[in-house]
Amino acid sequence: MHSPTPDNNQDAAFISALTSLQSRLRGYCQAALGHGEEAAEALQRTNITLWKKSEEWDPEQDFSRWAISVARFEVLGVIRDRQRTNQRYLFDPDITEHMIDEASERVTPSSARQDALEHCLARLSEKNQDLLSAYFVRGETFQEISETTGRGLSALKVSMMRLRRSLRSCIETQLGKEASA
Amino acid sequence: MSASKNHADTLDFEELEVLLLDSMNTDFSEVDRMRLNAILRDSPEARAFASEHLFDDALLADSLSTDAAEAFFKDETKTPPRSSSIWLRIAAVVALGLIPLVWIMNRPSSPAPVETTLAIVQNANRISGLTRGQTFLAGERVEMERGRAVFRFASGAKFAVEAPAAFTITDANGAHFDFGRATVRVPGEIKGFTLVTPTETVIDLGTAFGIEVTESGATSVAVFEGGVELRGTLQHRRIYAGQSTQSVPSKSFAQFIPHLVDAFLNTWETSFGVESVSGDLRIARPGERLAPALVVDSTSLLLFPERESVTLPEGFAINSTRTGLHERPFDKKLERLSDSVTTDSYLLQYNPGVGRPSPGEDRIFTAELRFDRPIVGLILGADQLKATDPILAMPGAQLKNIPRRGINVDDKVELSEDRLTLRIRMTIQNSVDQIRVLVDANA
Repeated sequence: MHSPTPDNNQDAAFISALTSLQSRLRGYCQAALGHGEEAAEALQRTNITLWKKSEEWDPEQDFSRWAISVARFEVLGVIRDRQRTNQRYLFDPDITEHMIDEASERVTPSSARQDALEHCLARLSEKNQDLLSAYFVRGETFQEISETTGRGLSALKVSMMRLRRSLRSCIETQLGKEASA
Repeated sequence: MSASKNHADTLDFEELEVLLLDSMNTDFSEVDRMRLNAILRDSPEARAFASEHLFDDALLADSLSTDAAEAFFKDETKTPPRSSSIWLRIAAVVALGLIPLVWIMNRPSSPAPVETTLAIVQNANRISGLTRGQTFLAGERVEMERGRAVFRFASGAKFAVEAPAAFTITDANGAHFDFGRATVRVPGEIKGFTLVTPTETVIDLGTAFGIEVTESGATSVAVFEGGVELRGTLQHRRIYAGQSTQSVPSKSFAQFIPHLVDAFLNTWETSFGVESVSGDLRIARPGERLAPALVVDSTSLLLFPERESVTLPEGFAINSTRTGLHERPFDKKLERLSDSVTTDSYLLQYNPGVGRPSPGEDRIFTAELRFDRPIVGLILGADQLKATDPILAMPGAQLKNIPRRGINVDDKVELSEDRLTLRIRMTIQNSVDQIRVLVDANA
């Protein structure tokens, strides 16, 4: 059933690299395929394949580049499977090709964007963080949030748009500060 | 500076932003989807903007999940969110999120020809007339006088039944349920598992519900995860996680009743392939299963069934595959699977909440856990737990930043020679203990 691994340092390095890239891999899949089931499916396939190929990875090699090449392959696999069964997904096939290329631009070896986002999130009020959590983590619809909080549907949508914009602006400012530091 | 930022001031992406936000909802319309694609087709700037927006949404969801877990474990005074509405909301949301993740590991097979096996007994504990591995064809009737059994349908649906019960297998994804109590779990994207009762037809929309049919024909349904469609003689109704209904022969439609959970706990537990549990251990209830990091229980160890039918590749690294005693210090060498294996994963956890019990008040918890299929591996160390979360933990489980996972110095975990039984002795301190147990899904 098993055999001892010959190189545990490499295992540790692989585990560390895979876990620290997890958010960006999720981001890549989502940027390529949109919100929803397909992105989650592609991420899981990517993780499995990376595990499977872990011995092929050279720790001297840029993990993110290698992982993204695997993720790209898995994203294409998800699309192929969807097309084979005539299932609809968010982007039309011609758009998906563009979005996959765009997504590759988003994943960098550095976690600077994620760090900036966390910095900006920490500056939001608890109420606004709750709103974001309800929508992005718990997957509640605006209608459900409206019923829970008593806030109007339109007001909620406007709040969410403003929040996303202020976060984007804050991230860019933060990244700019780091670049000039 | 990103590409989208360069153009954000000159191009109006408001409509695009609204469409991207709305695209998260399951009721995102085809008209809106086409409009979104049209905008992206026309403008490279719009594509750059959308790509960045979607990428940030993923980072955002990840950061917020982590924040929630961190906040919970750092805040000593916070009580666990036990209100049913929160649990049910989590259950509904996360369960729906599960569908694609499990589906890729467990694809539905093609429709079975009439004479092929439609269901198999996965577990028949102390039931005369039923044996593990027994197969059934279309039209075969099952009558149970005592005990509990799990039937695995060719579609992948699991039907855990408690006697007295009687039903007839009709196809690879359904049965006529005359009477009895059962939990149905339909992992993956299978959907459509159908039970016909004397008063209504219950169709699974993914992924778990309890059902009780009395000998007079009254049918009660309680949805634990996902949703079901009820088709009565005059009315169709969909109900979702946290809702229960009852229909009786004299009424033409199902009526809502207080949510039933306790009635189905036996079959709920059996459906996960847990044959017996003893000692200071309980199995996570519906709802709890989906968010282990948020479940605080200082009185017992908890077993959280995680993902099912995940195929781990040859070479997959885990802490141990051997039988016998496991304790710290572990062999620092990880072990690698020499063959690919399809597993069901379980997270065993002790989480007293921060600050309980007080230092110096260590308690010893002992428990024995027996599965109906062999355990193929154990994940005992914090690093390996973290590394396998993306593959084996439930989506949204929020395990990312739990400190001091794994087992402690004085903890002992023993896997029996037949690989079916795990004996656990944990010296409980004021931290979270976790191990992951991998069970052969296809045995």
